Amino acid sequence: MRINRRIPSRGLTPGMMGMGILVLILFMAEFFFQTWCGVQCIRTGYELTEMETRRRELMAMQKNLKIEWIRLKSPQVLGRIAAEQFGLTIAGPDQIVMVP
Amino acid sequence: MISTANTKRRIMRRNRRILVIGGIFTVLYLIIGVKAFYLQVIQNADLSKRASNEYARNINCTGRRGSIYDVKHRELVLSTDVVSIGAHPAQIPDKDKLSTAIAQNLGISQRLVYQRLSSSRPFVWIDRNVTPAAAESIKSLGYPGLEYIPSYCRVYPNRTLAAQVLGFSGIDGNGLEGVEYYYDDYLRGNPYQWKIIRDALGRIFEQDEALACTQSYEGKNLILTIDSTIQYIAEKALKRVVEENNAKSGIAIVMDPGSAEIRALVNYPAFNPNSFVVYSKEDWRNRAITDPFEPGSTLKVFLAAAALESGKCGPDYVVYCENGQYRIGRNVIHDTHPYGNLTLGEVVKYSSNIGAAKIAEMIGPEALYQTLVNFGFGEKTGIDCPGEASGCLRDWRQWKKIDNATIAFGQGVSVSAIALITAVSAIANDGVLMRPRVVKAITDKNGAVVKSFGPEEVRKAISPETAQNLKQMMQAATEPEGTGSNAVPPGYSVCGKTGTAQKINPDGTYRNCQYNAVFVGFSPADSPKLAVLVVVNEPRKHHYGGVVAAPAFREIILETFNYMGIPPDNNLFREGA
Repeated sequence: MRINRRIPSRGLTPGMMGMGILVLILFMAEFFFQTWCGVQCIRTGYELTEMETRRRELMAMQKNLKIEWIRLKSPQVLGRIAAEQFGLTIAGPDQIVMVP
Repeated sequence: MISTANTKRRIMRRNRRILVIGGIFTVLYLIIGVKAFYLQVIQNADLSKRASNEYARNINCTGRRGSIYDVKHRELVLSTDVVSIGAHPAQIPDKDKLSTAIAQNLGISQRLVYQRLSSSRPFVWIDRNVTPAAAESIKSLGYPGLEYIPSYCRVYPNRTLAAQVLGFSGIDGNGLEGVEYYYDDYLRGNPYQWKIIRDALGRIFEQDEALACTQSYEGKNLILTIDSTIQYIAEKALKRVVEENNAKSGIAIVMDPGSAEIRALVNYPAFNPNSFVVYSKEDWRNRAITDPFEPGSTLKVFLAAAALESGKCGPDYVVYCENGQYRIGRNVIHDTHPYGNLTLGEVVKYSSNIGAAKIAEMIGPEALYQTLVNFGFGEKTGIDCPGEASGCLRDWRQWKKIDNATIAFGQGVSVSAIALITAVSAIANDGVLMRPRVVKAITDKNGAVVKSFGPEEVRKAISPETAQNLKQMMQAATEPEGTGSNAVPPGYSVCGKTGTAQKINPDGTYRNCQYNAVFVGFSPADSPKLAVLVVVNEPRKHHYGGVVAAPAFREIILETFNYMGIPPDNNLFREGA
């Protein structure tokens, strides 16, 4: 007599399969998200460095312009321009009229 | 039965295969796990350090040196960003090519660069304090073995203006002269370290946060009492008289007599602190502070103070001036013009040496000495500038009879320019001697005051009554017949005194035809706003203080009062007319 006994399957049930796939998708999504975050972080790092370098360059330029501006408004330069270019002189005391 | 047995064998074979494969994977994972544990836990510190050395680097820097401003907060000195370029010669493959490229970009000798790159030392400087643009041009060439270290360079935008007061700092940012040296501890920035992380291509990926807040390492700022416009006026006037009289050099000081704050301190010739190395050390020195000189007849004012304070004579005390010649022992004292009877006031007004000598004899050396000491002669004023000289005033007990006479007209005693104007300012300040200052306040990077210096009274040199009498005598000296008449600008009253002092040789003898022409005074007479001293060293055209130095005094007072908005007195115009 042939006994047709069914061997109990140890495979995954559809529910477990679905759950496994979902976990796998979540895991992969997290993996890709982390990778994307890492790339963004590196890119932002470069951008920050670039911005910082630019800021330093602009600060240096501002400083140089400030020095030039100080030089241009120094009493020597203004005095020379006033005298040579515009023929200005210091007002004599007799030219000063006091308003009562 | 057979079928069942086969099935069982198949299942067993399958399970064995699974076990073997599982075992292999387990072993492999174990190996990886062990290796990971070894690298991540056991070797962690060492590997992290090795990796960090590959991509991270610490750079040592010093904070920006503080700025220096004038009394109206106009910048006199500031620091700007520069880059110092260094090299590791061992890491440079083609020194010839690199030295040519650097020489072209920096405008320096190719031979010099090559010599530096050929050095056996591990590190050499190629050029210090290069502009960021020039450094960038070399960096873009992409040569290995070069270092670009950010630093700061001192800039003096007004060039020679107040050069000896400001001084300068060296290439490493240390103050070497002037207030740069005196206040170096405050001005100097603090050292800090910042970390940069580079990627495989050498690009900077991340910089330490310290870079963003370098301001916290900056040095303190100085606010001077100097007014750059008055400084310019004084420099212009002094330069003119020195050049007109073919003089060797000159000194001018403008002081607020009430507070003893220095508004201008001029040494001519000046130097440019931006390139101080091309000037001689003589030019760097602030001679108004460091070099004492014989004050000549300007000392007669202090003799008059001593006479009045002694109570032995008043302003109208009459002395016979021997018609121009007066013998003391083996020495004969002369006057420029012969005089008969002169009052004490007229001795000051006409600057009679014989009158001064006789008054000194009358009051005695102790009274004269004590008054000079009260005015600060023979001691340092305590001004906040380096290298101050104290001048020379011997104890009165060491004076011979002739010394008492000569000191009365300013020979045998020496004083620095700053001490002389401080003493004259005390007369303008009703007899109160103040400590002179060039720094008004110290501020932090945000402009908040860290330390301030107000007027500081030293002592009461003379009574207000004596000061008032002296003012009248000094004003008389600038009247049309007085020696200092050239010092008076129209519309203003001036109290002043001229001085013409022969210069001394190192052996103590006097030089023929070499003089210091001096004028010191203050204006307006009734409420002094400014005290001014002008000293012209070795004028060759004329040598009298009233001819050489007084016109510079007049120019300084006139232009400075115009700038300060102090109006002329209309009554003086009417009197003049």
